[in-house]
Amino acid sequence: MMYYCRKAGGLLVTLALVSLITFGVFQILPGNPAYIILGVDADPMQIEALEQSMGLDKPLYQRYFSWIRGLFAGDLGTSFRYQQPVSQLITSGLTVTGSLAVMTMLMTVLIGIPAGIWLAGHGGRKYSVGFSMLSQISLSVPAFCMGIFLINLFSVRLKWLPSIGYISWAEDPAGCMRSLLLPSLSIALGSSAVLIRYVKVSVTNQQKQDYVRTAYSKGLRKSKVMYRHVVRNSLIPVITILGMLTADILGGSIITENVFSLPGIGRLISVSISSRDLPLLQGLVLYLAVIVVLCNFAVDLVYSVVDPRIRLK
Amino acid sequence: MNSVCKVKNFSLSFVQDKKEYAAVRDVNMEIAPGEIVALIGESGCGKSVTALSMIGLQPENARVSGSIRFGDEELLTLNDREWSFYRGDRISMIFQEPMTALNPLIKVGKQIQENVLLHQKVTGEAAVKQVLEVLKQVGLPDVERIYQSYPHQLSGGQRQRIMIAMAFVNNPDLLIADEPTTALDVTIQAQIMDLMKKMNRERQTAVLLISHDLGVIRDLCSRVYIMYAGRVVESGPVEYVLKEPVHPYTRGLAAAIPSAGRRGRELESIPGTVEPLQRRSKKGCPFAGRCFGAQSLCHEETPHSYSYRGRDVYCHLSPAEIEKRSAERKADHE
Repeated sequence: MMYYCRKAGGLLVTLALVSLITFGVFQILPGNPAYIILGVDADPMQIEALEQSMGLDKPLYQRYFSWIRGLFAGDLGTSFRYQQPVSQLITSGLTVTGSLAVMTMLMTVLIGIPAGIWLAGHGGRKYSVGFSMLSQISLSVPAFCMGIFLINLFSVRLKWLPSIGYISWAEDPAGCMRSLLLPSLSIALGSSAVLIRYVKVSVTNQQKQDYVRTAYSKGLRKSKVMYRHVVRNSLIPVITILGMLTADILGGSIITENVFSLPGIGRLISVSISSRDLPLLQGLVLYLAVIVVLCNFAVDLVYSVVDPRIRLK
Repeated sequence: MNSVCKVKNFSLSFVQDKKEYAAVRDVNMEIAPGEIVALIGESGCGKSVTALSMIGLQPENARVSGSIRFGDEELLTLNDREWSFYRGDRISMIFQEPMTALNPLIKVGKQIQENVLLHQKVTGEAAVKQVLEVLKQVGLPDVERIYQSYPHQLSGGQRQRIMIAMAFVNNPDLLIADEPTTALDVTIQAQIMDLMKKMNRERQTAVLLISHDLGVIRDLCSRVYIMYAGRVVESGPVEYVLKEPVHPYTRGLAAAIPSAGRRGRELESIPGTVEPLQRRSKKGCPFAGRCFGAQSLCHEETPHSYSYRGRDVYCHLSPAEIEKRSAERKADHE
């Protein structure tokens, strides 16, 4: 119980720091938002009026707390570019990016973990050369290149899948899956290559442990030793990697969403940067940071479920 | 002799970079039902791989020849599927390191229950009952709580008791114990050995005990095999072999035990060390390089065994000659 309390306490402190840093970074950035909105030739009176209405004339700490107060009320300000509440924009982008991320994660796990286990179990020299070439390729080709290659192959030549656009789950579940298949595959190929390597190393290490010999001495056969004893122990370090891959996948989605024209968070980020839409960008950065922090918190919780030694420490 | 396990002309070599290195050569050994037999030797003499071969867990780069018979079955030719009927059911094993021999993520009770369910056709509940019973037998307190414990919550001695419970739960015919007390506190060692003896008596399980502790072996075992550099050099009943050793190596070993009678005198040691696997010569007596009585024949030909007062000795010299040379050497020293 202490473990969970400590972890939850840590989470709150981290979130507070994240909000402070996000806010701070945007204060340090050069350029007055009022100038950006009205243009450099604007009338000083107008600028002053806008600064007042945006609260830019107040001291830093007051602005920080009013921003935080807004956060709790679900109000992240209004986007300059879209003239819509930031929270509303993020929510609409979230469904797209969320389903993309979930699908990518699923693919990564479904490819990475079984392949890693299989390679550790059967991977003599026979397969390891071929595999390491494949994984080198999928690691070194960036997700957007992979995306363009996949579009070329599956949409242009084979005409199996749509190349761009997004269909929502509520509208047409099958269409939604089809529209997300290529983008998530283009990210998942890289991240599953990372995962395969970690799983393989982890399983190989665990196979040398004494308890594995004990398991054999009980009369368990190779496959059962693997699934009852080795795999669970091997997954402990792999969980950490999954947490880190979440951040990777979110990062990968920024460019991939542009390649596939998906109206998600990634698109919003690139638009908000190019149009200097600070409230929107600030909200997006905070949102991404919070997601990553929450993922790592989830990793800690999963740890404690899998490993009894952590619960009791 | 009616035996549970009979090892005949057993040899084992490790294959490395396409070269073979003989680690065990022409070992003959026999274990009778319900008997405790000791296997003694320095580190690297091949006793552990011999024991592991008896349960089919020798390293993957090991090549074996000869025969290990278990009842009517030849063990060396079993495949993975056939082994699964023997391991944990009729032959079981206890390892040296109780701290790492258990799966850290599974409750110890479950780990023992796995053994029961694997080899007996019983319900989960009946298996739990058996586990609690065997936990009581190995002298653990509060067995219900122990059942629900994870390995890291138990002490080294408790974990070794768990290993013993796991090894005995299916009433095997043969138990192989590879230095089961080496990693434990001295105070716990005696308790664990007593427990092994008790389980051996109650369940009529034959035990092959690998140990360095000659004191324990004297108390517990009926017969002993002494190995040196991959070969058995002397074997026979404990009271003969350890009390009046014949083979020069056994003599050195026995002289190296501290005893009350030799209080105040310096402990004897055997000069030199065991040759590493790669540099061992293929012919001659393995001990020749360190032996006080070695002659040119000893370096050329492998000695055959002869019987002398109830034991088998593998030496070119007769007991009288060994005695004479040993006395000469002592005189030289003084």
